Amino acid sequence: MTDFLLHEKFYKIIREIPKPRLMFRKGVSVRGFFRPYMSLCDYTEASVFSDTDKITPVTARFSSLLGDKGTADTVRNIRSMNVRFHISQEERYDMLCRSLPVYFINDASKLTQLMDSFTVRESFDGLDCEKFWRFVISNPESVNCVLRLFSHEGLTDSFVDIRWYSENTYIWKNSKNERFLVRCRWYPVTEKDEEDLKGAYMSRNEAEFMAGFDPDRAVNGIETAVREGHFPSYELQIQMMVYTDDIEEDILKYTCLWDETKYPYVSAGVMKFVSEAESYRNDCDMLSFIPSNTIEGIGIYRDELSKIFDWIYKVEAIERGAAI
Amino acid sequence: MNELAQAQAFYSSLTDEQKKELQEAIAEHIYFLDEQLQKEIIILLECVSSGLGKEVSIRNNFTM
Repeated sequence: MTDFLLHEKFYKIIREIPKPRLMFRKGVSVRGFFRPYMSLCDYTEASVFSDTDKITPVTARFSSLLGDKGTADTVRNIRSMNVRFHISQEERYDMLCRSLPVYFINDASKLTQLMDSFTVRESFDGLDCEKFWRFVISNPESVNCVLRLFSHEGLTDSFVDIRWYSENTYIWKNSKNERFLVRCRWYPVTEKDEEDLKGAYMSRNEAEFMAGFDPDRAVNGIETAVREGHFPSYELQIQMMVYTDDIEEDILKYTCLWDETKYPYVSAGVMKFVSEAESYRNDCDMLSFIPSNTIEGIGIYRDELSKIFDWIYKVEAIERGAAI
Repeated sequence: MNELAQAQAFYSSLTDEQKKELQEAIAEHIYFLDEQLQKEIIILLECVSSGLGKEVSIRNNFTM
């Protein structure tokens, strides 16, 4: 016990291992660019969406909600693609997205019960069958999300060929102080047609086989696509409505989609990933996204659930020593 | 409840093969749960689609 250099070396290794995230522990980061198709300055002051000449660097982290680093990517799960727009040295905008368009609950007070149903041994490590279904029965508003989770949409082997939906409803504000409610979707840009895209979703047998054969398939897939120059791209599509004080209650619910016939998606820009993370520790492991990291012209709709999520992400980032 | 209407619309939009996958996935997941809980789950699934509830109970040899 007198080899202090050895002590110091191990102390450094121990200190460098960051605390695990609460959720979305297994993930991969990539870098790229975003460019709007047209100016949306009539709806938002945010330059990232209003200046067609502006190419904004982005960093994205793809991850899975449940499980740890050894969990197979093809396990039934909710996936996440969090995008950070690097607006300037000081300004950043984080858009947190999920693979399912709806969530289980609207009420923040139900979050701990939901978390309990996502816990077998430690937080968010897998579905506890009995607790999960008891939760669903007691909270029937979750049925819209549960059905999607247990459908083909809950099983995929790719982060590249699936759609991503913004977790938050945004409030955009233009220079005239008019406000709009906005939801976003990232749609994969590919030569594949709609039928082929369905191939990204798997059957239970395929997912089970792949979990043993290639458990890191989705993570490796996006890294390989970037490295080999396929440059995965996603089109930003937005749904928008004028924000008034007498907005329908369902519009602000996490458990409900917006009717596409009333609020059709409009293509707004494209994001292309061109390189892998330079440093795994700094650009992936220590990368934290905060929903309230927004810029002038964009805000999140703040209800109790969005506030608690924002708080969780902030505290997690601070506790893990990540920049926020 | 709008969630239920949207779940119904989602289920109707699935192909027969996707419906079968969904039915099997749920049936498999709830197979070892106690009877009362399975019964309540099936009642909820029947609100989405009578076909879904029925198929899940058939797959689990469950009688209501």
